[in-house]
Amino acid sequence: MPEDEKKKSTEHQFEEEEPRIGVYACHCGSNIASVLPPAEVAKYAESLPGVVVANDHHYMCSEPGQRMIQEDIKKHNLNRVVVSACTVAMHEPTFRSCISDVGLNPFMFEMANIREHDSWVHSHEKEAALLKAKELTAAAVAKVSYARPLDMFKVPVTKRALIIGGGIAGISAALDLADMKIETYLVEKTPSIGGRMAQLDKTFPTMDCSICIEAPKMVDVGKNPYIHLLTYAEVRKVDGYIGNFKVEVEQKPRYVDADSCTGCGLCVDVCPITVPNEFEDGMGPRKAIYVPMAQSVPVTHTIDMNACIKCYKCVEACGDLSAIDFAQEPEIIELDVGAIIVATGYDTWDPTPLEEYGFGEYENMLTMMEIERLHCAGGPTIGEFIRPSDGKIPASLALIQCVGSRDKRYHEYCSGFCCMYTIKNALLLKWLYPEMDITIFYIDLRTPGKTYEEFYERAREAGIHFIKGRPAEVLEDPVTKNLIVHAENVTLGTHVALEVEMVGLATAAIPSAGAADLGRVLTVANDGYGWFLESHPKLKPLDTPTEGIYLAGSAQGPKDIPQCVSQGSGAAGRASRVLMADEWEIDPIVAYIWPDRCLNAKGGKCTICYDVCPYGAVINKPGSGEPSQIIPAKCHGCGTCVAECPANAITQHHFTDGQVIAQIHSLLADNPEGKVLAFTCRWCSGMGADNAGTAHFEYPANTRIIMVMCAGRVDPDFVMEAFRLGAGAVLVSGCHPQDCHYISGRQYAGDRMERVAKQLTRLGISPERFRVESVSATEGAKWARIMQEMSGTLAELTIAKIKEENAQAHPKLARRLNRLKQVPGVAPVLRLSEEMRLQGIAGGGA
Amino acid sequence: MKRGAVRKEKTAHRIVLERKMVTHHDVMTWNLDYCVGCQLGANVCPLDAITHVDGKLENGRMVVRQGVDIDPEKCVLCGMCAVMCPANAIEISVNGKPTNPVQEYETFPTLIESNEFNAEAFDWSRRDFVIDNCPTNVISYDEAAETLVVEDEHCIRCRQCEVASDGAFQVEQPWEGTVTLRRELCVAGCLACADICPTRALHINAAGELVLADYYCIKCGACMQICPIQAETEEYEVTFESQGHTHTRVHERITNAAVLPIWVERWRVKHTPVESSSWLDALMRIASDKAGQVEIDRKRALKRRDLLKALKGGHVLMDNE
Ligand SMILES: Cc1cc2nc3c(=O)[nH]c(=O)nc-3n(C[C@H](O)[C@H](O)[C@H](O)COP(=O)(O)OP(=O)(O)OC[C@H]3O[C@@H](n4cnc5c(N)ncnc54)[C@H](O)[C@@H]3O)c2cc1C
Ligand code: SF4
Ligand code: SF4
Ligand code: SF4
Repeated sequence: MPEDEKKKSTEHQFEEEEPRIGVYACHCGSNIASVLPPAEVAKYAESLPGVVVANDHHYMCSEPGQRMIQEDIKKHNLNRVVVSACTVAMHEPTFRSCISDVGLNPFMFEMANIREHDSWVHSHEKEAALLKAKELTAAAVAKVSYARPLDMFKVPVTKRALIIGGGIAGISAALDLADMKIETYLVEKTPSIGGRMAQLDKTFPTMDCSICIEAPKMVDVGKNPYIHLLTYAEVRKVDGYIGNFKVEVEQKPRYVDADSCTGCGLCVDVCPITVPNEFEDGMGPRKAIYVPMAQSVPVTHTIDMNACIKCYKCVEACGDLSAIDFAQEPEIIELDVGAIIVATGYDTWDPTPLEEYGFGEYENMLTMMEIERLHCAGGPTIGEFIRPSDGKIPASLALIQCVGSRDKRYHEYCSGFCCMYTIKNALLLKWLYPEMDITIFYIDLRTPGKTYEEFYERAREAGIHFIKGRPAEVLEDPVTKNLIVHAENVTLGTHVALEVEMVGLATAAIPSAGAADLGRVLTVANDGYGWFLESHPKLKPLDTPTEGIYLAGSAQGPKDIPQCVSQGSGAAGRASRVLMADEWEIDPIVAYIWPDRCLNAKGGKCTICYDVCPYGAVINKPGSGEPSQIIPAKCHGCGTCVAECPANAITQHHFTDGQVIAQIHSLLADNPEGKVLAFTCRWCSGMGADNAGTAHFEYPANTRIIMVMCAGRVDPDFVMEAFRLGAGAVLVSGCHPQDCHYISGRQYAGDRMERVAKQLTRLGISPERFRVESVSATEGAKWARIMQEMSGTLAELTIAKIKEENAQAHPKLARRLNRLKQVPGVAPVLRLSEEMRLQGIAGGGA
Repeated sequence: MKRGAVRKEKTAHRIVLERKMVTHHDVMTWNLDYCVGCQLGANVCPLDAITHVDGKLENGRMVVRQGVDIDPEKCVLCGMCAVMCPANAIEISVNGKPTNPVQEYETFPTLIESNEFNAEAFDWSRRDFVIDNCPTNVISYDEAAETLVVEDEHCIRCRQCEVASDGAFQVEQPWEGTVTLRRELCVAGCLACADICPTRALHINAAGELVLADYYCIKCGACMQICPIQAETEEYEVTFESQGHTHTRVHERITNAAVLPIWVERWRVKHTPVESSSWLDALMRIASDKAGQVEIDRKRALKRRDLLKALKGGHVLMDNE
């Protein structure tokens, strides 16, 4: 985008216009209304400065609700809107487009969350909940009063896609994109595409042969002129932003030239070195020069240099084709793409740590993937299902589910597809060996797919035994190598000791190795378990918080093949929205440096903003006399630089210092000593707060939340100002540092807040009145606990003591915070707040 | 532990590496009682899986035997060390059958060595003398056949039986080379090499002195490993040709041979023909470059046109090509 256009969109020099605000309180059916009357919230809002009209509605998000807003905008000539309803994660986009449809700038809008943060967590404190709803609404009104219209940035789009991971999800995505004639790079870390599906025998519930249905697709990928296959390669670096990613892919040396190798395999025959084949999960061998499987795409062989003894026998065998090239070195390939799809799938957990099952010790104890390879006709035994200990076909078999899944010691989550594949393997073996006695130990059987329950019924009819109970222990008979499974039969309440000749473990699916590193490279977060985190679990399941990067298949969490294929196509669709466009609009919630305030403009040598920016968005020329500058398209809008800048020279659009200070003043206008003020990011911690609501984890209603994009945005002055105003306690909460959506924002916040904590202690503020926490999106319970504890702190310390501490700290805080007035946009906020105080208009509706 | 991973078990007497897949099962055993810590295995191992374990000396005598250790994560059970082991300490089996992958795939040759007994030429009064003199106890009397038999796979070709039998035993050693002992350079009172030497090549005589009987030396080099005066080495680049390619590798050579009290040089080894760069590489690592060069020179010589031309009628041959 041309430089001057960028300027226009970020530095609106517009006439100050009187705020004309409409406020709308939502009942959310009875979700809100059963705890607090939204009409009273609306009525109270009418009294707030700038508010022209206020109303309530059953469902603000419904068509009539939205129409009400649109009509009011026209009728009352509104220039700003506040909706007090649910979480921003849910409906901010809804209402933004609602107001922009009638010509209002979508950023002239704020939401107050009176559901997740209020009615759902304070149902036993109805009066306090109403007061909180009023105050949260007032804070939103205060913030929106200082809102400025912002325009989306337009960036050009490179019409090429990158897909990372060549399992069935990645393959599906690649083929769909190619159908749309979009040039696509498919990067796969192993020597062949195919992923886990290629390892399977038959697939539930239709029992078609897995590789038979996948191989044609693999071949299509290999042949398709729109798809560039990069196997044995890994993504090392990603720069840029939606529509304009610059990617570095490391092509690992295969020591075989792809153009010359015909895949004849003569080299394999002469290679003396045998090692376990990863593709067979170590059940069968491969050579040092190999393809993982007969159906490998590409057919290009690969030399495993950790095994090769450099005898050059393969070179001899290859002869005139001269495909083998020991001089190959790792190569970096640079790609320009407009969108990225992450389809890196899953790995199976190694159950060795679960000592009670003796995996790795007992020869006849297998994982289910091993069982799968062992009865697969393409497997190491050509489909003969034999015991590793003696090569005999077992007469009896036990299959144990939830091994390492749904287990607090290892992985709390359900791995999703194990129930179905366990039943599948039992059925397949029953068909192959009707005499085999097969027992499945389960905790719960989960069969929620189309015809899945019927599949389970078939297994029961086939005579497979099902025992409800997680085995406590498996012992081995050292002579026969049979295994004795000890379990409690939960249904009958009896102890079972079942001797079988072989056992299969349905081990947990875990994020593929290297997922965390890849997350870092992509600046896409992984959840607490390591799966890639979607932007919204319901409404944006294929998106990541980083625009232009999408998720498909098990990379996001365990999924079966139909789901992976659908997601592959879905992600291709999401990506094509961008790739088919000539230009893409990106959020303008970015940081902006006032050139005249930047220390470097006066010859300074400051590098702070440059150093803290996780995205390299700052142009920084210390000592040159030129002010630092932010490249808006690169800025992700965490606000870390804003909070760090020693000269207050940086602001963040839509989260200006003035706006946040206005929220603080509003929320602490009344009874500040009795309140806990929480600053939280909008991602993990914000979602954790929402999660507390969804789960109805109650906590005291004297808590108030201010959301910023990242904990990194929280300026020490915000905390100080809160205490100057008399706050009882202050919390700064973000993601767990390794999960930060802005890579290092939370880290900087943590370091900064440690210093703040020391300063506050010196000023005589009890340390427990200021806390810094990390909460993940699933830790609603933790959020509620923190709120309870901090609220408890106020009671323990007593209001009198807090007031005393505040009075003691006030002069120093006031002196320090004098400088706030210098920050552009803050002085009018302070002035107005003071006026309101003098006029006795409190923020709260007391 | 993943299936197919190499498992290691180590006791005072043996190291066992076992790799169990379902359709492939290999076992490799190092008999530490045979092992003299000679470092031939460590030197040829292409994956650096073998490390030397120092012995312990007290008052010039070995009180703890030197030996080796294996890294199961690096070893691919290729069998190179087993071919080279002068003490026959290493055994490999694949799927229950004794075999050696590098030999099976003609990557390593079979060393040419033998021990033959001519009963007719034997003075039977020396029977027990001969049996007693075998350091590996592999000679026994076969009552039924009324002859002496040698357990060939464990014979280390020291030739003690040859001398003891006055030539009724004929031993062909695989290695050619030299061993030199210079008492004057020894650390005073040290007899350690005699303690590790698997043969009578280095031994202590009745007067308590260290003696070298060079004919019995099998060129294992264990004595150099235990000697308190250690060899110093430098790296140098080696290029050689094999399978139509020029290979460049970094090897090490001794720089302080002049001060070593005991010095073993391997020149050449007799072996079946084989075309493999890992063999040439291995050979050049463990033999002095003189010896390595002998083989390579032969190969080069065949390609040298000046040599061809120098032969009677050589230019005629070249003109006809
Ligand atoms: C024992 C067993 C039996 C099953 N049976 C069935 C069944 O019968 N029916 C069914 O519907 N489902 C079944 N499943 C589930 C099925 O395996 C998955 O649904 C499916 O294979 C997942 O596909 P995917 O593309 O998401 O991931 P994967 O198949 O895991 O593919 C991911 C690919 O990405 C590559 N990759 C990983 N990291 C990187 C990186 N950093 N860079 C580049 N490439 C990378 C991997 O090498 C891999 O090729 C079974 C699973 C198990 C364990
Ligand atoms: S050079 Fe390596 S890959 Fe080729 S045959 Fe020898 S061991 Fe196998
Ligand atoms: S630190 Fe954050 S807000 Fe500042 S420029 Fe970088 S991405 Fe934008
Ligand atoms: S003298 Fe010969 S046989 Fe004895 S240890 Fe030294 S090299 Fe080995």
